[in-house]
Amino acid sequence: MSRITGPASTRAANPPPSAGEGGRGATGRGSDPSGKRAPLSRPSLTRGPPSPAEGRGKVRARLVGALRRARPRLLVVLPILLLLIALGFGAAAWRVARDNATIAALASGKDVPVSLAAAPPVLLARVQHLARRGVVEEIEPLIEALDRLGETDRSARARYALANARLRQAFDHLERGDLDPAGPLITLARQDYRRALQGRPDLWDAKFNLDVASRLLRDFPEFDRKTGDELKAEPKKIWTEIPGQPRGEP
Amino acid sequence: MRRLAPILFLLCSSVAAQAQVRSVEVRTPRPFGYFLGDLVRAQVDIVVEPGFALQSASLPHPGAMAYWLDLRDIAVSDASVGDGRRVRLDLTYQNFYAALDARALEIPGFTVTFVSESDRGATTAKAQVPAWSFNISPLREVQPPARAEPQSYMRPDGRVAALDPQPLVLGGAGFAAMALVAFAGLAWDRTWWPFAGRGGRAFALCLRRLRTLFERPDPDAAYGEGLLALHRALDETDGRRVLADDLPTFLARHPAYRTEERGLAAFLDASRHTFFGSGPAAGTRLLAPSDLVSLTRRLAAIERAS
Repeated sequence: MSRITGPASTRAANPPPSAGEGGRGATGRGSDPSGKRAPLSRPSLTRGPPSPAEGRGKVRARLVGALRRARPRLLVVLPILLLLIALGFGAAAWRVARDNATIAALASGKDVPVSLAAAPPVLLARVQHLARRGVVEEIEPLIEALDRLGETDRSARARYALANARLRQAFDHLERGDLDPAGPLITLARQDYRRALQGRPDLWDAKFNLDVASRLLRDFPEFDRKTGDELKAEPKKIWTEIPGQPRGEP
Repeated sequence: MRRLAPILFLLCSSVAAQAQVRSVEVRTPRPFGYFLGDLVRAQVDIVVEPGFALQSASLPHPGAMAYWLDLRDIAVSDASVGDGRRVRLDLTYQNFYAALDARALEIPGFTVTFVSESDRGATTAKAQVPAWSFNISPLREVQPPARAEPQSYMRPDGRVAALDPQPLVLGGAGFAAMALVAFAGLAWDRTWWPFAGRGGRAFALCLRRLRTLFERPDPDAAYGEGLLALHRALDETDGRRVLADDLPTFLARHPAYRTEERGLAAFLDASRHTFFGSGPAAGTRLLAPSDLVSLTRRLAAIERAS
C-alpha cells in the first residue's frame, strides 16, 4: 500500500501519468481542441442568464457574479461573525442571570454592594433595599446614576422608595412624640413624591402616599397652607412657599 | 374734513387692533374627575389675522406655576384657517393639590403677544387666554379608619421584577447554531475534517498530500510523489489524462486556471525532466518543491472560487 518505498523504486513503481509510449508526443486525446469543444464541466454562471437583453437579468447576473467572487471570503467571515454575535448574546444572558441573582439577594434582605455602573434594575433593587432598611443617605447617588442613564421610570420608582423611607422615619418620630424632626422629613418626602410623580404621573402608589404625607403636614400649624374653597395660582408669585416674610409691626 | 381725517384713521386703526385677534377658545377633555398627580390638559385655539406671528417669549414657561400646579409642557402648532391663522397651544399641567374633598381649582389665564412685522414698523396684538377651572377629587375618605401602626396607611415600596434572560439565551443558541452551520459550510468548502473525503476538490487534497510528503526525510522521492499527486489532481479536474501538450486544451476547458498557465507549464516541464530526463535534481531546478506547494495552493484557491 505504501506509495514510496525508496528513492530507487519511485520511478519504477509509479510511472508518471504522461508516460505513454510516445512520451510527449501522446496528444491523441487532447488533439481535438479546434473541433467540437467539450462542454464545460461546470457551466460558468459568470456568463449571465440566457436572456442578457433584459436589464434586470443583467443586474442579477452581476450580483450573482459578485457573490461568486466574494464566496471564499464570505465563507470565512460568516462563521466568525455569527460566532461573535452568539458570544455577545451569551455574555448578555450571563450578565442578566448575574443581575437576577443580585436582585433576588437584595429582595431577600442581603446587603449586596452595588456599583453605580450596574444595570438600572439592579440600582433600583438596591435603592429599595436601602429604603427598607432606612439608609437614606446612600440612596441619592444611586438615583442620580439612574437619572444619568435616562431611566425616567425607574428613577421615579426609586424616588418613591426614598420618599417612603423618609415618611416612615417621620412616622417613627411622630410615634415617639418627636414633632420637630418629623416636619422637615415629611416635607422632603413630599418633594420626593412630587418628583416621582413628575417622572411618572401614573404611579398610583406615589399619589396615595403623597396624600398620606400631605394630610400629616396639615396637622402642623407651622406648615399650614391657606385652605379655602378655591385656590388661585398666581403665576407672578412663585415664592409663595417661603415663610417668614417680614410683616410690618407698629 | 381735513382735520377729521387723522382722527378717523385712529378710530379705524383701533378697530383694526381689536380685530387682529379674532377668537380665543379653551378646550379641555373634561373639567372634573382629576386626582392628585394627574395630568390636566388644555387646548387653546387663537385665531389671528394673517401676518401675525406668535411671540414665543410671551408664552408661559414650563415649571411650577404654584405650589400645587406644574406646567409640564407647552406645544405650539400653526395652521391657516380660512383667511386667518390659527395658533394652537397644547398645555399639559400636573395637579399636586391633595384634596380632602371634591373641589374646584382654577388654572390662571395668561396673555399671549402676537407681532406683525411690516416695513412701517411692528404691530403687536395681545390675546387674553381666560382662566379656567376643573374639579378634583380626593383619593381617600376624609377620616380613614384608625390603625395601630400608622405606617400601614402607606402603600408598599414595590419590587423589581427579575429580568427575563430567555430571549437572550434563545438568540445566543440560534446564532451559535447558525455559526455551526456556517463552519460546516467552510469545512465542506475547504475539505476539512468530516468532509475530507468529499470529491470535487482534487487540488485541495493534493495540497494536503504534498504537505505530508515534504515532511518526510527523503526529498527526492517526495518530490516525485508530489509531482505525481499534482498530475492526478489535474487528471481528476479535467476528467481525463492531462499530458504536457494538453495544457492549452485543459486551459480552454477550464479558463479559471488560465492565470496559472506559466506555473502549470513549469510543472509539466519539471515532471518531464524528472521522470524522463536526468531525474528529480533537474526537476527541482525547474520547479522547486516550495514552488510546487505554492502552485498547488494557488490552484486549490482557484478551485474553491470556481
